[in-house]
Amino acid sequence: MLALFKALVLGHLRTNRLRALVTVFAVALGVAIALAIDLANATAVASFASSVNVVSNHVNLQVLGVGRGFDDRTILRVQDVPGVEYATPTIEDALVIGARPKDPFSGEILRVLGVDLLRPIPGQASANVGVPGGIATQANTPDPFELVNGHGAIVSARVAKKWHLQKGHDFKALAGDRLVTVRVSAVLPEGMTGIDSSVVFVDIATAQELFDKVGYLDRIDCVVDPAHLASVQAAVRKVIPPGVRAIEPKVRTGEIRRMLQSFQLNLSALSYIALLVGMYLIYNTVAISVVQRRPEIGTLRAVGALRKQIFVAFVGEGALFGVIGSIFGLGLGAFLAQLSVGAVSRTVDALYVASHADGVTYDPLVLSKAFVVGVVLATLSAVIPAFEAARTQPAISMRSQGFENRSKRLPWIAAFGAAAFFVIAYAFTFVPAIDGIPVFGYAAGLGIIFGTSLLAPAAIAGLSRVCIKLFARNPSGELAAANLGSSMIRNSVAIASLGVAIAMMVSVAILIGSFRTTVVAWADDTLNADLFVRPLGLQDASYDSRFSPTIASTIAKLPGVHAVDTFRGISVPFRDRITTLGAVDFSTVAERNKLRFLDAPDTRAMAQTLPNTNNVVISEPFATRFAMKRGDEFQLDTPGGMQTLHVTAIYNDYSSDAGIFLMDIRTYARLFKDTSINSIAIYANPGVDLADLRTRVLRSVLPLRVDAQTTRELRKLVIEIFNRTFAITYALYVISITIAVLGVVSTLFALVLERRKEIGLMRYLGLRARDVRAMVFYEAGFIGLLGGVGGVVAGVLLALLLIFVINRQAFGWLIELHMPYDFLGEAIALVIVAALLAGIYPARVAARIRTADAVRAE
Amino acid sequence: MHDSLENAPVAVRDARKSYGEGSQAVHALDGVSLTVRAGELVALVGPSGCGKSTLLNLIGCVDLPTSGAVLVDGRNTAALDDDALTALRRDRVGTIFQFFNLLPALTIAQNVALPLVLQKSAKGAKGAALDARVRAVLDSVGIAEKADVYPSQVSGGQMQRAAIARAIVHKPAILLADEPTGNLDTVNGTMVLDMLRRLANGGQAILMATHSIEAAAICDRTIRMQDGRIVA
Repeated sequence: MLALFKALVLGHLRTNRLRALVTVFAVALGVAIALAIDLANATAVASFASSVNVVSNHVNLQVLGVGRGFDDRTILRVQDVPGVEYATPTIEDALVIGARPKDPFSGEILRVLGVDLLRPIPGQASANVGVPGGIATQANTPDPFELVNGHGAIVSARVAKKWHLQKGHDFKALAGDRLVTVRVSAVLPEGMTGIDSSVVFVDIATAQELFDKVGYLDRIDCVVDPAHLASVQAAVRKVIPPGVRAIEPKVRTGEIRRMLQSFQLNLSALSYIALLVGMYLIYNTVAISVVQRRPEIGTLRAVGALRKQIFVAFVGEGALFGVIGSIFGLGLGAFLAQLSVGAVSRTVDALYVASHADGVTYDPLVLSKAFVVGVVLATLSAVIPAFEAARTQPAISMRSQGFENRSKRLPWIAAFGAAAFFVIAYAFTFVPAIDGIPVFGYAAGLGIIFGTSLLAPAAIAGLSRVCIKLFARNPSGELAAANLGSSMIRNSVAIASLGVAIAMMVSVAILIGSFRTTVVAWADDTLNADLFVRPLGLQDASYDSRFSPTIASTIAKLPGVHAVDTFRGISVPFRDRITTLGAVDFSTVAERNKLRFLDAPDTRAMAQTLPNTNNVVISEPFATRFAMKRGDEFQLDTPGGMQTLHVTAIYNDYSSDAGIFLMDIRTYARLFKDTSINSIAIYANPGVDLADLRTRVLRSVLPLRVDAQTTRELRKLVIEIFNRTFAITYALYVISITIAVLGVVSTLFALVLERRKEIGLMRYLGLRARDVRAMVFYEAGFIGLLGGVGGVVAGVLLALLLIFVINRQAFGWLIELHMPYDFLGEAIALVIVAALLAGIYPARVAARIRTADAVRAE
Repeated sequence: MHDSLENAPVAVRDARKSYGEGSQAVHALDGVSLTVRAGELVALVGPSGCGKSTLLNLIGCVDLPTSGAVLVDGRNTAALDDDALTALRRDRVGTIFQFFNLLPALTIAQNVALPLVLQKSAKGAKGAALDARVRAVLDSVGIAEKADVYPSQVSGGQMQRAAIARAIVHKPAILLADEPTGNLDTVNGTMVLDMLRRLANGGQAILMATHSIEAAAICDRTIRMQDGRIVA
């Protein structure tokens, strides 16, 4: 078997190094992209788990509050529960360092973990300070007095270096809208595993003071006897206040994982397109190998090689590409993950929940999965050409050169297969999502991709026939058109792989364009205040940045201010996921026209019936995710006890696919005992100078630090966040197109080599070198044209699927379709240009073929 | 001439081979019968399209007759499935091609060893003597010194000698040669014919399709074909 493999595969690869390298590179790139995204996704989820483990990996039970937190005396009852071996109070909040006005992305968020720093943590008997990692060295031991009474903090080496901090130095940072001063009591050594570098440790008392949470806790981390976890958990639940949960840490991680599921799955699906394009390239390479080596296969069959031996040899070629490509892909992917993890965590930060992703978490399972997927897909890609090779008749060894089997029926058979794929894909669009995952939607996407790919032979046959007539007086064009039809299978694969990459680009561009237009229209409709005020500093999805309670009333009294609206948001666990509860003043809903309701309810009546009741309105994604409709009821555990909430209306919202439900701010204050707010919308009197009003707002709240933006600035910010969210998508499709163009280079090069004698003969008969070059360029242009048109058609179909099925099922968003016709034309032109560029090297090789050498064997 | 069919390396009885059906049918072979015995060198001559290659394909177990029987080493090829046919070809047939058909990725020795390697792979046999056998055969065709070079590094005559070595290395019952001198100059052609003659003298059954008068002249007998039939 090894001899066969060597005869058919290894030797051939040696003599076709360029194609082998291109294929290995394509596989490596595909595996790398999929791995980079998978690692970024895994890191985002793992960072939540590590934020629990950062205190101690022995913690197996957490008492968690929502919103502003819960009474800190709860810990006295929890630690007295039999079976609780250790319980530490915790505050989790954020400080912003280096923020500048008018730049919401300036500065850095430092995740502050307030714990009992004077208690040794479990598993660290010798430590006199309860910080993990055992930093209490002689040189670095923090002063306990400073930690408790002097706003002492322990920061990471990275943060210390970035912001020029040293032990004993004070630094200023924003806690919400208040400027606070913190002293560096110790610097954590570099490279401490399990501790994110953005985490700052302070004592619990310092944290309560810094974040205006005196008397409150966000959570209690407990270590309990694992053997009696369930009974201890039940006992703890009896002593904690309403609205507070006692759960295992993994429950919370699971909720976050489910919240991010759609976002991460969509990103993964896109990243796997690159791998799919790579598969086409492997298919192409092995298919070309089979065609080029058909006489050798025939010879081997003639001297006794079995069909299955030939089959295994060529499948082995695919596997070899898979193994080598995947090994390189792991290295490249691990590198790219360092870039993607930043992009993914920024989006997670902005849209879902404050994350702690620092370095990449190289999960061996994720690495193994990428390797196995790369090898398996590469091996599978070789199955069809290997089967074709095994069918080779020994009698073919009597011929002097290889050829591609021509079948007049192929275009028809393939077109029939395409029709079948389209019908199945269409049927799949009617099947609902499974547990929120649009499984059949993705399958329909594959159906469209395979269906369009199978149309390639018919398109080639048609174009070839037309162009042979069209170029009757142009030998280069005529020959190229004839060549296109005579190498139907491999040209089909090149066209299909190019088409798939273009389809991805087109579909994502249509989706993003439509989404952006929809979001802009939504922002125009709903952002109708004149100024928006927020605490100075970074904005993320944590709602940690809060205003001081009096600030809204201070602003409301300013001359020129007609009215103010406030918003308070908190993350709440709901049905195994995390969602958002927003508190607004429902009495002004009709007056301000802030929300776009779906079923046109009577907003004037709502203004009368909603305030100070358990009536809520829910966002469209919330309705989709939790299968709710107007008139439904649901239960919510609040600090004010278990509440039944009534769904009064559904509104259009694009701020988060995790869903949001709104209740009246008075109801919220009553149930959650929280009067803080996260943002203020100001409605100015007619004719008021907004720049002047902004200055007055900023001055009126001093020394508190806030930032005020006009509607236009806020809309710009919405689009900026939108563009950042999709930035990684652009990178993904550029890479897919790169792989596809490599496929065109590979195909054209193989065709030139295979037609060496033919080209030599034509040169002998009078074809000039430039005619040969032109012939290759014509063929490249034909491939580009068909790949471009096919890609645009498939892309439009995929866009419809993404907009009306996948996004609807995965995110609950209804996006209005906007077709960018200019872009579609540009895409086709771009592909033709790319294909022509891909033809440069093969054309040069073709033009250099020596006539005498090529025809000598004839 | 038609006796002891089962013992002859090759026996063909009333073999017919048609391509297509009904009025479109082309009869490539039309009732051909012949026997090739051990030690016999038989020339198969006739104009292009007379059915020589089709007959070689049937005897070489790469194709099956439409009717009639083709017995190779006593086994009726029509009764065998693809794997058995492949095994018969691998073990009992050797073929010399006009275009040599050496695998460019393998050295001369590796090319020659292929039938033995394939046998070994299929039967799980020990291959200790494989190298020695290959060297001996290469020596017998006079290219032992070329064992470790690639086909692209030797002359056409040496390539055909390597092809002969590959065809006989597994001691086939029948050696088929399809225009073995068709791609060689006179000197190399003569050398190859001498080699085939010596092999026949040593007991090898050989059936050679050729257009060459010189090649036919060294054979024990000549079978002439025309329009799918044996005419002399």
